[in-house]
Amino acid sequence: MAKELDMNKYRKLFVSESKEFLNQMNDSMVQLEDKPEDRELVDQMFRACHSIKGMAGMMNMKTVQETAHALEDILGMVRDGKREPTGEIADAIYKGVDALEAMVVAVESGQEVPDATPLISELRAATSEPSPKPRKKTKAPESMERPAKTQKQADQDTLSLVVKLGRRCSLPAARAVVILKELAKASEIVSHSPTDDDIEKEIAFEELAVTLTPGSKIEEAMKRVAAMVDVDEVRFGRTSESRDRWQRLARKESTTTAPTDLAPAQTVRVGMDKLDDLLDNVGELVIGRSRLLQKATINDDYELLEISSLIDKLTSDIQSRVLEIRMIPLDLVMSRFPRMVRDISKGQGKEVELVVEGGSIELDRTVVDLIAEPMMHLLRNCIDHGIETVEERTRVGKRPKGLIRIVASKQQDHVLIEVSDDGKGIDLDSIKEIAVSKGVMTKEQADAALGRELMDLLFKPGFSTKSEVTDISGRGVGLDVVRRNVENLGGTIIVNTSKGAGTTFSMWLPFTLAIIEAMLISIADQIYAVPMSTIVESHRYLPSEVKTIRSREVVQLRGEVLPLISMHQFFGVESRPRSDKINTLVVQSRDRRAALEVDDLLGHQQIVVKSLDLRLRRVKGISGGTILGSGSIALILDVDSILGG
Amino acid sequence: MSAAADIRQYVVFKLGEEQYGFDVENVREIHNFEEVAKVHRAANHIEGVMNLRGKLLTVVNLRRRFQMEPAPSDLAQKIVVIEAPDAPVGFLVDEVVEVARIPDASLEKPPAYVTSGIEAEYVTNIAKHEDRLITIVNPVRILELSTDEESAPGGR
Repeated sequence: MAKELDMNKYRKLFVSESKEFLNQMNDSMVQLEDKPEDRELVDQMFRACHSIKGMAGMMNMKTVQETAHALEDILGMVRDGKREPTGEIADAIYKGVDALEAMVVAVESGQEVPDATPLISELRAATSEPSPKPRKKTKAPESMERPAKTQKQADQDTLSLVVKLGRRCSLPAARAVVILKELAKASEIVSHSPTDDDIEKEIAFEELAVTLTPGSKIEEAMKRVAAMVDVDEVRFGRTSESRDRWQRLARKESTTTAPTDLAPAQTVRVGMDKLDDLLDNVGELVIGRSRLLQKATINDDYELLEISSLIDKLTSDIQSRVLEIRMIPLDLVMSRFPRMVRDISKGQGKEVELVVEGGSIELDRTVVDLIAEPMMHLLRNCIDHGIETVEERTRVGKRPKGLIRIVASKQQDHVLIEVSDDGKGIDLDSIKEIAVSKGVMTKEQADAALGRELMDLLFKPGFSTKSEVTDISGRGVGLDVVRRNVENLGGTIIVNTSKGAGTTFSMWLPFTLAIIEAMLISIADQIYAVPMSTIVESHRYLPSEVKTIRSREVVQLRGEVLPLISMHQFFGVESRPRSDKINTLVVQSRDRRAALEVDDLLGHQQIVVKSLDLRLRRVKGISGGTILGSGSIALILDVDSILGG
Repeated sequence: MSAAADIRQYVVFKLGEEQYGFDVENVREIHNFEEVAKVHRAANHIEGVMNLRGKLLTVVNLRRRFQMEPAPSDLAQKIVVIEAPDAPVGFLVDEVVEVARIPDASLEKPPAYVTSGIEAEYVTNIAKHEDRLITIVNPVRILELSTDEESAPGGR
């Protein structure tokens, strides 16, 4: 049981680390195509691939290991200047990376890794074919020629571990001796670096690399080592090449990327679920705090009041810290975009450059996760329908290579993300034509419509501007989905365009979903929270102002007729007789508005959003809950489903 | 097989006059029944949502789930919190009697006449324990079988 759990933990670690490495490889490869001579990029990819191979070996994932190995061979040849990272070789590398990605996803979802024998032999074939022009001049001076067979041999026979010591480790030499002793109990140590001599001389070092013969007790020993004071990390990896060379690479990394290399030692990986738990605990703390404050006030105890106000302050600090910790940079999703843009534009014979700015802006994890898909949609749209072909661009006097920019910026309590292209823009006249032909507007309405109103039509389901079609789909396809996603996040999206010069989509998004502004109301003696983002205004009506249309109640707000929805009726609870005033909240979701009749408005506050149990997620009218200062629960009204049904 | 393996522990609780048991392995904790927020359009047997140390705990009314009369209002009901696969779920019961150690040998398959149809899916055994009959039910199965997700407004 315990062992299974441990495996699971390692598997999670393997998945998250592999994903990072693969992202890095994708990123480097896209850059490498532009700068085929950049050796640093190849080295980076090689190291990433090597790490994946090592981890896979440790996890006994043969297919992953072999695929990574084959890919590593190709990268090795590129690094040694025997192959150019372009054309077929580039395709083979991409293929390898894609295959590894698919495997990691399979591992993540607990599925069997599919067989990859054909792919592996394809990758191997890529290295065996003679390259048309070997680049002898850049041949790596430090490269050691080893027949592939010996490499493989080494692969099977030894196991290498890297023990990373904490930066505060005061006596690394002493620690190293203890670690080696511990490892020697489990297996035979073949070699280690620094060597005994270096250790004795007490040369400062942060990493201890050990090569040992594989054995069943190693895992145990590693756990013991990992638990030691001063040990930051224990990594596995099977070496397939000379250790010296590997260390040179490692050293190179530490010299060229020194500032970023220092960072990981001071960071800790924490699961999102743990942070969620922490946030829950803090929520409870907030409740306890308010009870304490109440008690202190009643008893009029000066000392108690002082203590509770201190706790009050600390609690608020902790709450905001926890929310900060949940923030992750946009780069985590945006790093996939260069590769995606490359693939799509290649497929359409277009040339596109992607510029990303503001990737370091941090948003709550939930927002970042949910924003990936709409952004991918927009990018695809830009390439499909915005950017012209090279010939077309040359004809109208534009730079042959199209430009897509993603710019993220902080705007008070929102983040603005703009996705713009310098393509042909959207033709308002063709929008008008379609609007008329689809019966969305009359000819007169269309002619009188403002640009904004016409652009808004693009976000309507099934609206497609057919005249600018390059393939089967038009610009309108999918934009309704993008808008829905953005609005579900509590954001807004607009589009600006100028014919011939390009299109810009601007999205305003909240930093977090975990805490929202809400209006507290009561319905049948129970408190509910209504997200402020859905509220247009609150309004009181006299019973005489309520009219009916086909026996449905309506009210008017500055001339606009709104359906009046009784929340009592919606929830199927007994209504109390209407008094002289009817409290309503005028709410909006997408393009629908209505007035919700509620009992009382209790004021507005920030609430921590909590999700409901699986069994309640499909219940109409509520989307979640929050715990109020009193400890009781307020359910969050789901305006969208109330207006929809 | 050792003797210990043949004895299991059960959380025994009452609904009306009848006694029921959950395997203790499924039970996470037992709680006093406090305030719940009613979820009006949820399935009929959902009592509501309760604050369990900062998390929202769904509470199932077991009497209603078993189509029994509502509990008398003076009863100090308890919540048995079950470790369901996705998240904990609370079961509202009349009274928790004890945690009983019942040997497997005292268990019998329920008579077909008593548990017919859907009930047979979650009633795993009948235990004869100290002159009492305890119906052993699998709470996780009860949850899985709760498919009537939503009732119409006012449909209770």
